[in-house]
Amino acid sequence: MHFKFKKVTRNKFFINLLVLGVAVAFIFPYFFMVTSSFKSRLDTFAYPPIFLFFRPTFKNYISIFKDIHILFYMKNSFIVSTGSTLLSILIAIPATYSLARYRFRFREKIAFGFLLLQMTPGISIVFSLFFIVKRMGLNDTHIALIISYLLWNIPFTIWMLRGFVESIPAQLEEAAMVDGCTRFRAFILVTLPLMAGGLVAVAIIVFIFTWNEFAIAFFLTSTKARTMPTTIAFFMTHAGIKWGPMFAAATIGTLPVVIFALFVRKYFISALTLGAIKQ
Amino acid sequence: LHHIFIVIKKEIFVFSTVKLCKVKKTPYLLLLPAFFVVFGVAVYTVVFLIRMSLVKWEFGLPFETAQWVGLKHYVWLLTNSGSPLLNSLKVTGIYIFGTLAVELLIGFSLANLLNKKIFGRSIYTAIFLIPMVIMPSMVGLIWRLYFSYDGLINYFFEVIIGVKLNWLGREWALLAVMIVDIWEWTPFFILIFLAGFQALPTEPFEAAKVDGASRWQVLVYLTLPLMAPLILTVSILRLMDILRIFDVIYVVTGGGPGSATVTLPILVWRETMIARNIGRGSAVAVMLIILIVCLTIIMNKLFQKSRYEE
Repeated sequence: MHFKFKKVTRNKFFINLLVLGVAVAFIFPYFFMVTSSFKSRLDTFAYPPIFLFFRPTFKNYISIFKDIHILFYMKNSFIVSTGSTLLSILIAIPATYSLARYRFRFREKIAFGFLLLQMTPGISIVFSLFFIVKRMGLNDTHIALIISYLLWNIPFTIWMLRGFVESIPAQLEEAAMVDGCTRFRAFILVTLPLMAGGLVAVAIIVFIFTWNEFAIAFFLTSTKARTMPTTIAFFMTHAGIKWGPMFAAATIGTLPVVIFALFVRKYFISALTLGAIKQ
Repeated sequence: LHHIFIVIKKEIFVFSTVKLCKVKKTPYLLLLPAFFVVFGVAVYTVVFLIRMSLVKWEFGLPFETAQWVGLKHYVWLLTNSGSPLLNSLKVTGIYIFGTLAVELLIGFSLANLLNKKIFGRSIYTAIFLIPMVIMPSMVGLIWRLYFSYDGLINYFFEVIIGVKLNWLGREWALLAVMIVDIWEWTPFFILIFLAGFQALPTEPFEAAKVDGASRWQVLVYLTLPLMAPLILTVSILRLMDILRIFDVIYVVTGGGPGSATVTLPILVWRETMIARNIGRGSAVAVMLIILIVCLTIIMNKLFQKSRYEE
């Protein structure tokens, strides 16, 4: 009996160790990226690599703020991501409500149409978008990017929010309407507050996707509206890649996203599966 | 009297809402803004894309100078011996099956372990979130350094196996790109399967325990069948996701060396921007969209099935 107990605890220990090992393997590339942003040029290329003990320097950070003006591109990213997120939420809410609460012809067909658009690869239509935007004289503007992103963000928001609205019983709204509210007021006063948590989560996730998007931003902008992810081109120069500043930019560009993502991690999986899996 | 009045008012109200529902204009009106923005822009863009795929259009000249060539680009891509499409399909196929197999296997087994009594599970779920939320373009760039000859990966290889590989060379580039994908997306499978495990009913497992089933039997006859729909759905989602990945491969290898890592999205870019053949690139893009549409139809069938089962 005593022996068996020991064996179980030992098994448990090994399982814990194994999981820990895998987790370390997955976090390590990110950890190395963040630490490398504080390394001098020599330490970055040291072989064998230096993992922990090096003299930290802020040179890389100074370089990206002064030479590359990273704040300008972060501002662009922020404008585009916020604009597209807010617009898509605003436009998606009535559409979601319609798809979730009414029964009408073509309902599932329309929902499927939105899904199709969400799945369309950005790279496949980006060149067509580019020529259209150019013809309208909107290339390299924030508004062109914001509207382009709506193509993916609105369908995504609709698909995510639909589950939230459907999970709130319609009887609550009906009760409010019986008490004299209009349908609109019933929605604003009853359903909206109940789905507020989900709404914020979806907004954050849409923001993260837009913040990270590369292909559309890369081909639709050149200087004025250029966003964070496309600044990698600045580090890939003819004289090789400027690794130190690149690590610094990657750290700054990913830090807000990681923090945001940790806040909404409850919703993240169902978001990545378009609500197919609820957590 | 006052009471009766309210009742009458309610009756009238209910009557009016019923009538409103019968007319059924509201649902369409509510959909109108989204419909207008999304489908308006999308239809215009896709129609223009199809037009681009049917013409010969010199780079830099206005669209009016383009010559109509009909389906020539499609025919060339599908039949010409110099067509890059076949190679690209091969590369995409290897990429999809290789990454999916590894990600499913690691994801499933690790989720299984995490589902047991593990110390600090919430910390692990937080850690596993990181690779998939950080900027793919930056991810590509850091992995490009890790894969360089004196980089991180070769260091570990030398320590463990004693060899250094030329990761971004012709033979290993595809594997390198796949490793980045595995790093980025295995956590996705881990978290999804963990959620799936936690949603499983407990009774069948208790019954199996009472009947004295071995751990292996429980896995094969209980866990796997119960998880099968989830595994299928996630695989299809991931498959479609791979058909959309452009940034990581573009940054790590740019499709090279030669055409070793040209997946379908990379092929669209290469034909359009590198070969400077807008028509042909657009034809590849249209084919990619058709492929995605077919996959979405399959996935939607699965989704709806699970919706009804709920």
